[in-house]
Amino acid sequence: MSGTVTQEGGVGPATGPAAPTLAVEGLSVEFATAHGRVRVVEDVSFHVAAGETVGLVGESGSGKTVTCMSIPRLLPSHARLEGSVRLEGRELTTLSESAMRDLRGRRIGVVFQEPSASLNPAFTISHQIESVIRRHEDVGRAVAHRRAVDLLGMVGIPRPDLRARAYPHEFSGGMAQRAMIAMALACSPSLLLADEPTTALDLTIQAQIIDLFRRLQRELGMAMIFVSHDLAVVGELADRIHVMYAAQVVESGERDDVLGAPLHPYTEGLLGAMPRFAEADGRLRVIPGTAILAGEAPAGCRFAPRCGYAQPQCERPVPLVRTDAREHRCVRADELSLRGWQ
Amino acid sequence: MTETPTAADAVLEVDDLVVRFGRRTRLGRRPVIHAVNGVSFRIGRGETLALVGESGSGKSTTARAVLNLVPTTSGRVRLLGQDLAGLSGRDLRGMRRHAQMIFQDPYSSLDPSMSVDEIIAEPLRVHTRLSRTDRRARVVEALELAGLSRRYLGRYPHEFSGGQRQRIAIARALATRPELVIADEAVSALDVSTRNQILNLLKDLQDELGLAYLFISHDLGVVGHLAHRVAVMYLGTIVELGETSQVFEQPAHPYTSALLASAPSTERNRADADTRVQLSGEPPDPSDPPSGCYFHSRCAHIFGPCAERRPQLLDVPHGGTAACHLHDPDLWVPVEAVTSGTQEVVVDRDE
Repeated sequence: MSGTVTQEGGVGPATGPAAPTLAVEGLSVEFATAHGRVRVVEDVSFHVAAGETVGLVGESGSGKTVTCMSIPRLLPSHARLEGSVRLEGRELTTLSESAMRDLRGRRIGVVFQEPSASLNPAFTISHQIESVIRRHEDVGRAVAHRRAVDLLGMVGIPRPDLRARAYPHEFSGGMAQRAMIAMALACSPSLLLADEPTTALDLTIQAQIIDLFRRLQRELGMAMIFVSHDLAVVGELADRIHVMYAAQVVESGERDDVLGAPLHPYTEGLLGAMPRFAEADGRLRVIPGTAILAGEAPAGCRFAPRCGYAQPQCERPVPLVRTDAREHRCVRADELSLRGWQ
Repeated sequence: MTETPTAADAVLEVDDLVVRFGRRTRLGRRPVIHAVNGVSFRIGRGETLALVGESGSGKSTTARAVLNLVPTTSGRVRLLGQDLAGLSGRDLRGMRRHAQMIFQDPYSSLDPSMSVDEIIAEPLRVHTRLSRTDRRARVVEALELAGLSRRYLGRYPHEFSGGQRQRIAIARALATRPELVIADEAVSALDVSTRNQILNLLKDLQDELGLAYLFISHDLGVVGHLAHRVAVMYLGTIVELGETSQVFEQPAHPYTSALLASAPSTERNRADADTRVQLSGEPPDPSDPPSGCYFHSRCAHIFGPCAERRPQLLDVPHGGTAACHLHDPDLWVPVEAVTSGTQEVVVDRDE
């Protein structure tokens, strides 16, 4: 995957693994709760190069969204962050809040799940895009407006010159999400974060937005993180996939490797849960039990209580094992031959 | 496996159901929303019929109209042969015990101030005249059918996970021993691992109790697995109806094809992604539906009559019906297979 358009002030298309746009190393996040401090993200590391999409997938409470929102530090004030997050070589975890605010919207664009909740109902669409542009760049209203209209056209809003003057309630869910994407891209960020951006949308609209992300990334060549609970949606877009369970990455690798030949039983369970993998007697495959929250994690493998392959050795803590382009957190990965999509 | 049930064995018969919203108010006339526009279907004992379609297609309104939870503008709904429209008060409540509903969100559909036994007993108090002891026995029976232990009777909803809450909602629906259960996106709020447990439970209950399901879902994978027959809705109308496997394998309506092609897939080769059939635009405003076929404004196969005449449901090769002029022998040379998800459709009109 190679970008073709080098953006103004941005990073050019990736020419190799040399300098990732984003490097996350040993990221942990703790939340203060009524039951004390809980690690909701534990020791997560990954890189995202320009033009590359990294997918974070997992069920609710797995830590995927917190991992993503740790990057622009959009976390509750009681959150405590450890580890390193470097964007274009710059450490973000120690940055002042005002410097961070300058990066948000300029170098980091964010698209959230609920477009209607993310847009301000009191202002027109173009006003909201213009204010992002004018906050970060020294341009006049007319220039900002023209850019807003261009952006709305780029994300596929018909008659952008007219629709720019509309208020959010006049937009459908799909159109509002396109407007959100236009806003996230307004200052040509080098990193785009998309947190369940299609989950609230209808199927045909979801397909349109997925295609839009794919086209935009090809044209703009930014680094992208795509978060979803839906393995199929992540599979449509991601070059690399990180599967999270109970605050940890349990497996990561190239999209085709993770989906085609998973190394962790949880990934196999998620894939096998798709209805087309139902048993011959018509029963859907289940992962027994319910997902545990990070705070209730056992000392050993966190998935072991639900895992059909668990053995006594799984009761000891499992380190993350790196081999070539893959990582996994299963002590039996070498001996198990898990089932992928085929 | 299932033929369309005849009137005799149908648990639910819906004939030409129309639901319109909107009325004159002090602030002026609000536009009339044509939520459901002439929908007909039947569900037999032990059968699952799925309604699929996007927001605004009228699938939830259809379900609510079946239970008389929204007023119907015209048409007829018969539950176990009895017309619900003529009933009110005690008679209506008496009939409603035969049809129960499971809602999408197990967090908002359970009253947090009621204990589990109160929640499950409530429909029994409303719809039946069982004694306290009999009620108690029914509550325990329903709870155990839903796969929960009777130890939970005195607990409150906040003590349960999403999947367990949905089991409580299922127990509540089963308490009156209904013939028909309407599940409106009943598994959409659940994580995949929990979702399959609930779907397996629904299947087991159907096998055991002979329940009929009206199953509303946007998840085509789930529908393909669970439903015997499927009705595809668009803008308040059924555009295609047939056995699920047949409809999914050889869709006869262009909208069904587009919907199937929109489903995300882990199998799809990345190189194919850009060539799949893509439905452009968005559904039209239900207060101002297009002329002729409601789908014509987004359809890739539009021809002569589409903008002028509303197509009726016609028999199609897969054995079901579809409302599309492409299948009208009077208008057209019969078309073999209209579309299958990914292949390009070429209809040669000059032959």
